[in-house]
Amino acid sequence: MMTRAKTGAAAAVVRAPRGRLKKRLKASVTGWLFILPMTFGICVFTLLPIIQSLYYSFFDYNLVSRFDFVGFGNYADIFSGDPEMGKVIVNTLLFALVNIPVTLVGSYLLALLLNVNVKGIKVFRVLYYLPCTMPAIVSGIVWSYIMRYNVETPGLFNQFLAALGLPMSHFFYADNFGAVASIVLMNLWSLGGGTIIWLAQFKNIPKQLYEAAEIDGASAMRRFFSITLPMSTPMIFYNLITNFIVTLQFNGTLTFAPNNGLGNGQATYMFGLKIYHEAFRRSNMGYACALAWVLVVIVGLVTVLLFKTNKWVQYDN
Amino acid sequence: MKKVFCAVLPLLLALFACAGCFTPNIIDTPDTEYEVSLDVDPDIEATLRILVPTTDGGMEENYINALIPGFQEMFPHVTIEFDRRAISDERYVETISSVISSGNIPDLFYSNTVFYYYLISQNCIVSLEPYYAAEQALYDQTGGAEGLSLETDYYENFFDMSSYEGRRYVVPRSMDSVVTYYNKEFLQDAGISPDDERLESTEENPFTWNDLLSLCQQVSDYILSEQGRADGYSLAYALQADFDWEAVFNAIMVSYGSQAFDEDGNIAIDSPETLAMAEMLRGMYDAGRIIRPVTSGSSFANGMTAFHFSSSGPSRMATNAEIADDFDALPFPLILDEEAGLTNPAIGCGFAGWGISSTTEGTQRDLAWQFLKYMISEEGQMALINAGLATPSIRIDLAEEKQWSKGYEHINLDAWLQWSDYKVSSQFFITQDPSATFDIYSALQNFMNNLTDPTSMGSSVRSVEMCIDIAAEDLAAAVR
Repeated sequence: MMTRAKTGAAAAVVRAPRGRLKKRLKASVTGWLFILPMTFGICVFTLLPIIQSLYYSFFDYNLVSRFDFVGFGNYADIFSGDPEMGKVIVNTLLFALVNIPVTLVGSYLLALLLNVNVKGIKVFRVLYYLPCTMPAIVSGIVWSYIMRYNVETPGLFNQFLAALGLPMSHFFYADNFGAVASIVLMNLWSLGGGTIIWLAQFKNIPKQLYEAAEIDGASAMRRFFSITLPMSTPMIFYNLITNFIVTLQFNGTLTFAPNNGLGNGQATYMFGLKIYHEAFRRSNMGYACALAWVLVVIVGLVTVLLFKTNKWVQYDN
Repeated sequence: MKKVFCAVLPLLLALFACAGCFTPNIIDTPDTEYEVSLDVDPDIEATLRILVPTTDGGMEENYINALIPGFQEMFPHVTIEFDRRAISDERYVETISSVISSGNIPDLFYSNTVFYYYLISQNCIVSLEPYYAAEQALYDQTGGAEGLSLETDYYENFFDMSSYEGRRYVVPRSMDSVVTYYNKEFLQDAGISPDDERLESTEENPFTWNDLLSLCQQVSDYILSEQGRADGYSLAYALQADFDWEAVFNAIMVSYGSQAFDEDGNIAIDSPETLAMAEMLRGMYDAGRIIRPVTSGSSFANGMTAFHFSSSGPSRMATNAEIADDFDALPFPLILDEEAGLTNPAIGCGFAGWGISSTTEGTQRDLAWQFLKYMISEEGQMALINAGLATPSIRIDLAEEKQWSKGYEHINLDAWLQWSDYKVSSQFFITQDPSATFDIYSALQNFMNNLTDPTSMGSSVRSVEMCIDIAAEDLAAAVR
């Protein structure tokens, strides 16, 4: 009997977690059902293509008639055999170095302006956000006319420069860094998108902090540097990382730059466009997949680096 | 962390294995010699899928639709389905690869002078030589009652344009040849009589590039004169040439002996011949209002150009209300100047047509051939003409009878047919890997735009030497 009783108790001990698990599963089945379509979608349309692209990156795959295993051959070509990579990397880094600070600071300053309590501020918020609702292809066409370089029929900017008696500029038709600088200028058009995130962050800053600072006689500038800026650092950090990723992936030049997006003298040939160009213009899908994975590694490394150096971010209230 | 790692790693490995299972759909090299049968059962039940472009306003689909009733009289149980795709120079690779990846491959691929090389190199279409050989044999056996003889009844050089390694791959639906349209009213206003001998094109007095330049200069002087402005031509140009169109620039390059690549595939654009051509084109730009910029609008500029290079038939040109009853045509001007060493004139031409998919085999392939054969039969060609295909028929009899332009007999329809020995199609990409075709094309388009429109949207004012250097760099990048 003792043995039987002992065995029964032991069984009860073993069964208890199983029962809890079953109970928990039963309780959460509705939740699982709700997320099932999304999970399925992510697996089929995101996760699987990601893994598939990794698989293809080890093949010489031209999309139609060739699928030969080349091991790390595509990766070796990126670092040693592709004469375009130098230009692509320089253009991408220059673009990132200028675009990230300009868009971060620009959207932050715009958000500060739009955070002021004045009559009609909501109208301004809408107006600044409106350009973001315009499809990229449409804004690309509009900007190609605004920045047009043509002696007989100059674009809007060049008409403006001419009216001021200044020489016309090639903008993104230039075959030097001027083309990349013009894209940065063009990106200011959609600063409103970033301001929405900043505004949400500003609303989260406790009002008591500003009230206390005002009682202590802190000036507006002091309140900004001692309260607003430190309290925004988590969002600055988030925007820095996402901006970095978006900038490295940028291939918007396809819609407006000459030479099928490559620009004159390949002045606007950047990493994102290189991936598209290899995949869909040169049908080197395997090589394009390898490029995409190199980009993933670069983004991953920089993100880790940013996280390692994020002591300036103030997460506590 | 360890647990997460242990869970994620097998998941990734499993997914990687799954990805391996999704080995992409690719096409193997097709046989160049295969069994054919010209005797397809008229009661066959089948569906033929035909790739048609959607980017031409439905023109090619309209032509195929015109062929269906006649074809279905021969094969009443055959259905035609369209595989409608956006087809352009920039997106052709993307379009074809998505067709192949889908696994739902059409029986007939649409192609033209530039696209065919890509299709052949990617194993998408089969050589049609076995069918041509079988049809010729049948023609010989039956004394011409059945079968086809390209040599006897057709403009064979247009069939040859889709050749690769001595085999032909595409059946052209018509002849596309560049001609020079001119606006009669504009020329008269500029003081150029219709009887001006420069507007002649005969064996003894061919219409030459020098004639065109002289006429254009006269028109340009008129445009810039007080009278020209008073007559409403202040925005006009003498010539809409579309120099970035391969049928135009290729003919000019060939005439000058200029090449993008030599026979060994080395870049050869940096040559004295190219320099001579470039200086001639830049001279046209510098001479005043001769070359209309490529960026400013519609065909024939609504009557605001005196000359226009085009391959459209006269009925299509007549849809332009501004010049509807006031135009005529000359052949493409022959670049012929013995003193300058130019003795090898060329006229740009090309084809549009269909090739049989390499995945279409057996009876289905024979049926696809029957469709193409019907397309170039007298009845099929008449159906295309009645559907609005106003370029010369690929059949010699219909072309010479001018069936393709009824109602336009007052126009010089010989302009399309004259100088057939000088007609050349684009082959500038043939020594290179097919994946580079469209980049090479882009590089040469940029080259011509830089030369003929040096202040356009895409370029600054550059010397011809700089243009050649840039072209060499672009070509090197294209074939890297």
